[in-house]
Amino acid sequence: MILGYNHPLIDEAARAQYDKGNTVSLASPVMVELAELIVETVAAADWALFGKNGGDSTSLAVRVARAATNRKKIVKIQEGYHGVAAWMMASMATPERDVKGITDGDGADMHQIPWNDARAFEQLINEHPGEIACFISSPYDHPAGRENSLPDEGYWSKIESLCRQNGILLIVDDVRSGFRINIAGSNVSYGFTPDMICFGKAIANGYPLSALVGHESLKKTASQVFYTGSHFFQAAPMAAAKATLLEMQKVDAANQMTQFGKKLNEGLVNIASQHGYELSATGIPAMPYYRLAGVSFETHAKWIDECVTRGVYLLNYHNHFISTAHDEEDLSRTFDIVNEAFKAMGDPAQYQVA
Amino acid sequence: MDVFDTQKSDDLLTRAREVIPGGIFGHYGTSSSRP
Repeated sequence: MILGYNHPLIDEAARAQYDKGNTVSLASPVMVELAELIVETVAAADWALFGKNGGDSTSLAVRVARAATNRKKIVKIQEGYHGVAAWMMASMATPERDVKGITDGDGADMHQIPWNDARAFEQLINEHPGEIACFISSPYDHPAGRENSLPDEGYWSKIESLCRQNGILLIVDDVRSGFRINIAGSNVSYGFTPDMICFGKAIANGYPLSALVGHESLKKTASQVFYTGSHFFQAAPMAAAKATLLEMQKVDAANQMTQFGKKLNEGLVNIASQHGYELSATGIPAMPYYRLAGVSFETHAKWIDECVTRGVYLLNYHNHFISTAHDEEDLSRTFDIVNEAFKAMGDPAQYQVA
Repeated sequence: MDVFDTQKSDDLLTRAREVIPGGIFGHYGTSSSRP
């Protein structure tokens, strides 16, 4: 909820559209208005197609890439998450992790490389010349269960260059980080231009909507890919998305969330330090991932539990989402609660692991 | 109840083709066979 729960402007926009009609026989005018607004707002967008979940936009992106290049192979980052379609989940299967309901065929054309490793991408390209349809990745690495990592200097320039030189389409999965770094697309802040961007989650402040946007050169191919769903044309979420984008622009949401996140991170790290703990805050300030350093995961989870018990909802395995509704009062209350949580944890020496 | 002015349809369809691949029917893959 990038603007906070039950935002009156967004809910009113959705309500007004519900009165006109939501799930109707054809697309509503608001779909065109939303697509126009997205094209106007997102730098790399010449067109937009809509779905429900982020996984719809990522799966459509991969379909468009395969159709446009007439190639099969997809490259992603290790532990990169792009929804639950079989093509994606096949990449999560390891000898230690059994992913139910997928086949060897589902993963046959999936390849993975380490984050921030452009050399590995280049090597993969050399091993499979003319076979790779696309490279799909979040703009920075935000896996579950481990610290997040921003792109190294020059990483995205190198990736983009390799893609262009080898006819590989570059897809950014901005489903989580979209509009939190830069409303024009996270890629703008990282200095590169993708062929397609996937949006979801915050785009309609909680109303079910996702979007795939792309370059003009892919418009015809995108129009030839059959990808739809019974509820894809629902108008109320589109009205909500239009209102959300306009409000995010008005309040400079990305900057507001970044500033709040910086204060939150600094405060939590300092409080931890005062109690003898080391807390790492990784990822972008608007979407922080927290982990107590030098202790077991169980100890980290215990601290999280102490916070949750006292009224701050933190996660022990996932990045967090700042919203523009978070304010100084929330900050102050959070700090008070976290301070009490650390008191309850006691001496950090008892938890230190080698 | 609001009633859409169908005189505006042509304009919307034209605008849709500018920003939505295949226009308002873009999701159906205009050149693909449908199940």
